[in-house]
Amino acid sequence: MFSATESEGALTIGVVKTGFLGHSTAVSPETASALLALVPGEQVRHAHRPRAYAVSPEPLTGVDCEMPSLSGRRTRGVGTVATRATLTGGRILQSCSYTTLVPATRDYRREWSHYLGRPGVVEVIRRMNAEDAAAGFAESDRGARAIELELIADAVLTGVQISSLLDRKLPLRAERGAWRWAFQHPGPDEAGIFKFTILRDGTRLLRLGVSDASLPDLLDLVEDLALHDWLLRTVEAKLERVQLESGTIDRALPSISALFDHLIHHWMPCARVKQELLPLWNELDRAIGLTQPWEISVNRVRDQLRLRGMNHARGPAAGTS
Amino acid sequence: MNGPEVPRLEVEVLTAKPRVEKVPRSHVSVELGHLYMEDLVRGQESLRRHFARIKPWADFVRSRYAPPLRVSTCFLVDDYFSAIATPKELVPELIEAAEAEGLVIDYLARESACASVGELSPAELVMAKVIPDPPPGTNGRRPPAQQSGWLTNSQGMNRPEAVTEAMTRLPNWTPPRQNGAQSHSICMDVQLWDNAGGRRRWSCALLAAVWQLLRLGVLRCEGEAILRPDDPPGEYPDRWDDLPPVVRLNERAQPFFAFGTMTVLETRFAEVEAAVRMILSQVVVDPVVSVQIADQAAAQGIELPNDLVRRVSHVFSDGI
Repeated sequence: MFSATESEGALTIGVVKTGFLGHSTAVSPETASALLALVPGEQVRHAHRPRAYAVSPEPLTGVDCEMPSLSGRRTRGVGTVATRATLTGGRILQSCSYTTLVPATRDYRREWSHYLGRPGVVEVIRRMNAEDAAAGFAESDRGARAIELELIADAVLTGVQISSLLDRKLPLRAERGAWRWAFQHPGPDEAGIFKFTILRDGTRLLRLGVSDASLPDLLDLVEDLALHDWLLRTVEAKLERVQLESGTIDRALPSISALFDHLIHHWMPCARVKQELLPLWNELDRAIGLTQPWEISVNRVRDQLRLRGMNHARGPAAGTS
Repeated sequence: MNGPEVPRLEVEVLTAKPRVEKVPRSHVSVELGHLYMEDLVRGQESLRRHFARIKPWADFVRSRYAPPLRVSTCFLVDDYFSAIATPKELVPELIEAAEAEGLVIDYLARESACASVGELSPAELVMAKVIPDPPPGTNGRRPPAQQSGWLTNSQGMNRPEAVTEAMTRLPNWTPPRQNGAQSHSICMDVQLWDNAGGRRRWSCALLAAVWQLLRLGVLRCEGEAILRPDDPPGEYPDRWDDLPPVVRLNERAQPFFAFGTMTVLETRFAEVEAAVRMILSQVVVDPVVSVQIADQAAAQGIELPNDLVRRVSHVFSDGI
């Protein structure tokens, strides 16, 4: 969390990974607490409405490495990356690793305790260019990312998934979703920023410049976007497969009904988004395309099932006549 | 007719924000020296000599923090590595020797409590807060090193036993380097524990780091402050385990927890304390607790460094 004075010119970069918890059923809040206890002694927080949600304490990872850049400039940053894991509906697991880049006040690396006094902040030694760093991280794949936030987030996600509390029986196969994002606080005379890119491998890149939004609220926002984007992609991928095997609704039926059993009811946009950010969510939804394609896809799933029901009702009778 | 005005709706989404216990604090916690158990059992004369050496430093702190500023004093009994004398024998002797030299021990703590109290292990809690000092080039690609029982401030410490001038010119020898050193390095490897007799035995340096963190009031377990001071028992027990972890000997004492600590020690402890400071430099405080302490300090007009190590002062003296 940065204060008002620090936020000027600051840049926060992060990644969100989204996937199914490797378990056959939704887990209880107690199990969620045990899974997300990433820092012994610190608390896992829960919400029960509008749906079960749990968020872990945030372990830190120390880094001393080059910072992202689109232009290829080489700057060194020292500090810590924070990671939090969340579990939504006892089912959908997300990890988010992030750090705020600020210009260092000295041109050398300081004692390590200095950096631990500002958790979740990386100080960029000499020549920080927030624009270049944000573009390098979250605008294209051409830049050098240098700092491996994705690996940190993946490691936390994997750490939860290998827990002995999980039976690893997934009711539904789904690819892990990846978002890479950069938030800037535009100066008083600067316009807001919005850039959204989808990479070849499916990674979503988001650059956002918004004033008057706190980092925790923006984290909630981007996690919510990533979660719903992942739901949509998972449903679309299933429908695509069914279409490829057209005419074999019977064979596709288990995976189609699995969507209803395990996935579709998790669609609950903005459940955790601050009221002030709802207009932004709606704008992003329109630009990225979430709600509209979701409704189309869900209707298609319903149609498939209805069709199947009709065939089933008609089928045997037609055969005997 | 207009319908009723709809109020602005606010729904708190997180039902359980992390609730963290707030503790009262002194400005400074002064530790009145330290003695190993074998020093503690040398008798009243020896204890009085010890406190006589501490007295001028304690007076100095009191003069800097005159009332209404708050100072509390404490003494840590080394009962972890050996327990030759019992609390029944030792505690009254300690109180008497300090009093004879004009000092009041406000709080008496036992070192074994830094390792464990019942189910709770303060040392384990601290280990969970260690964020290792990253060597240059650390970008998150390699997972953090497995907890090896050692903590370092440098890289390349594994080197031949003796390095000769000739070896430094060998192509396959690279000198160790302190992370973040500007010109020259001071490399340290600190052992945190060993496994003596099949169970984990914490090092003196680690326990002393836990002790500093306790006095700074930054440790919480599930939001609760740990090892809060207790009133003294009616009679001092025969076993250290039966003594509360932190005992309030002076009922008018200022709070045990403090914004900063001052530890007065003989010079022979300098090495251990350098290790303590290195451990502390790699410990992160629960951010919720950090914010709470910063608010407390700001409300009282106290300037508090974010850097935890800078809240910990030491004086090394064998007498002035």
